[in-house]
Amino acid sequence: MTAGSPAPALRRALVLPRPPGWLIGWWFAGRAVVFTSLLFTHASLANLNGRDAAWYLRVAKSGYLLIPGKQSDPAFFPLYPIVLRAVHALGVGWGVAGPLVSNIAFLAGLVLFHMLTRELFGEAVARRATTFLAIFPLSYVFSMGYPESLVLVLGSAGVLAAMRGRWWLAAACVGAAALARPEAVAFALPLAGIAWQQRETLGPWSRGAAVAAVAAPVAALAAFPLYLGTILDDPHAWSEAQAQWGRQVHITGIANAIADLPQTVAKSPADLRDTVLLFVYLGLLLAAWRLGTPRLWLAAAVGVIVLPLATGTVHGIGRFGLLAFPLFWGLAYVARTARLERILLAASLILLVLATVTIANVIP
Amino acid sequence: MSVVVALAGCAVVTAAGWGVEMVGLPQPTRADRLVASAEGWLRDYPLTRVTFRRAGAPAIDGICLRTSVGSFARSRLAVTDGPLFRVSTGHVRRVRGRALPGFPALLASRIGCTATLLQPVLAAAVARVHVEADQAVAAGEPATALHFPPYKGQRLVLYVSPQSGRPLLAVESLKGVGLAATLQLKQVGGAALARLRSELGMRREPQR
Repeated sequence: MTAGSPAPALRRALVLPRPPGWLIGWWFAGRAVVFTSLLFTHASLANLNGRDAAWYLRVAKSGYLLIPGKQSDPAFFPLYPIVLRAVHALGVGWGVAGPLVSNIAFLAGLVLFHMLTRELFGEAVARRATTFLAIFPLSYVFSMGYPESLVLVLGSAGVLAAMRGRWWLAAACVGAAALARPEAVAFALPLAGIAWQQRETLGPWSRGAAVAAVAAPVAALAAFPLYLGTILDDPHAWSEAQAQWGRQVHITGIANAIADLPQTVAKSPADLRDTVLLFVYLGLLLAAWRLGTPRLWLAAAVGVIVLPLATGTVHGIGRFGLLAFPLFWGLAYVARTARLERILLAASLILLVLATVTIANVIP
Repeated sequence: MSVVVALAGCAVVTAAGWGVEMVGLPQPTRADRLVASAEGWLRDYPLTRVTFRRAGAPAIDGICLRTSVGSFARSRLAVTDGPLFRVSTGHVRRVRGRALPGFPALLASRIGCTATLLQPVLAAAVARVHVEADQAVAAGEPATALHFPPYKGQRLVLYVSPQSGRPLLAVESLKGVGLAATLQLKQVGGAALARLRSELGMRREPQR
């Protein structure tokens, strides 16, 4: 292979560095807590394929079908089912494919998140933030048949690629992330900040690539209604299906969600948890701001946490927030003394156990 | 130059996303889509004007009005110049008029009322059971016949418009008895609904 050939560069771009031992240890500890909690309580491993995971599996097996007036699968984004289908084609059973993909992707996601955070804040913050992400109370979602792990990998990889000037790779990663979860659109903001920082050094071609990468999540998002229009003759199938889950964006949605908080909290334990987490997340964003998190990152995190309220409910905020990276940087800032770090790690592990054992009753 | 590269890049991302979805996921069959469309029609239309036909017997006209929705949907089925039935899922009870000898009331309520016909269609759509589809003619129109899998000895064939999925004719057989129902789905509301409810003797029946 000649030195000038693209193959080594491509290989470097696609191959992850060897994860540090402590990171593998915390990943293993977090997953062990999740699996042990499930095995030793009334909950079971089948819960990892429950709730939304069952819908993703259905899409993977049979594709999309909009059922008017009923909850149906076009509400679920396509990349994760595509990956499940590919893994199943390798001989992995449907029941195993989701948790297998999610747990392995979570390890890769932690590695990339650590690299990204180290570039922004240095090793000490990166190590604490990655550790907290590995054992965050809601991190059992990263073990379920949900696409969050995949978005963690693709979003972190996309931003890292942009920081290193690999704008086409960044476009591919964040575009793919937006095909897995709509929250990935928020990655456009940090990418825009990085592109702005690099503007003096970019040539016309690279500048175009950078703009394409910033717009890639929205461009990829457009592919989904286009696809639904092709196969179902209905490009609005996603929003129609979403409406059946009570998820319809409304101009007064945020105000309604906040006004209805007392009734919502009284009715559902899941919404009580999500309400508590909403305020915890806002506090962590404040801590992230104190740490010196770039403003566009903060804006992206606010978008991930606050915009879902526009559907008029706090439901799901806890889970959506897992993709707002500044929350974990804020947590690393809060745990900046050794004593606080130990307390928060212990609290996180205990809450992870409690959250996991209620998986069957409290919808993540 | 940068603008052209950016626009081309966005187009490539959208096209690649679409391509990955087309290649990576199975597409619904025509039968799947027609079953889902038929479910929508049955859900949206509470009133059916229906003509029942069975071998060796004269045609019988009737109307069926859905009076409540949900898992325990109820309806009223009135046979022209004949009895009035109260219908709920799996049950039919004559509340007025004399019985028609040989008239399979349970079968008639299963295929003549949108609320009850909706149940197997919805179940098939949700569970993605394999439904055979073939070309046919029903109620004088080109139609697609949707053959639902047999269930507890019952066999349902729903004929729908090939374009819209609108149900035109339902045929069901149970223990050797077959019945066909030509369906005209109707919307009803306001004064017409009040008059109809009155005619069907359901003034005091609560609406859910």
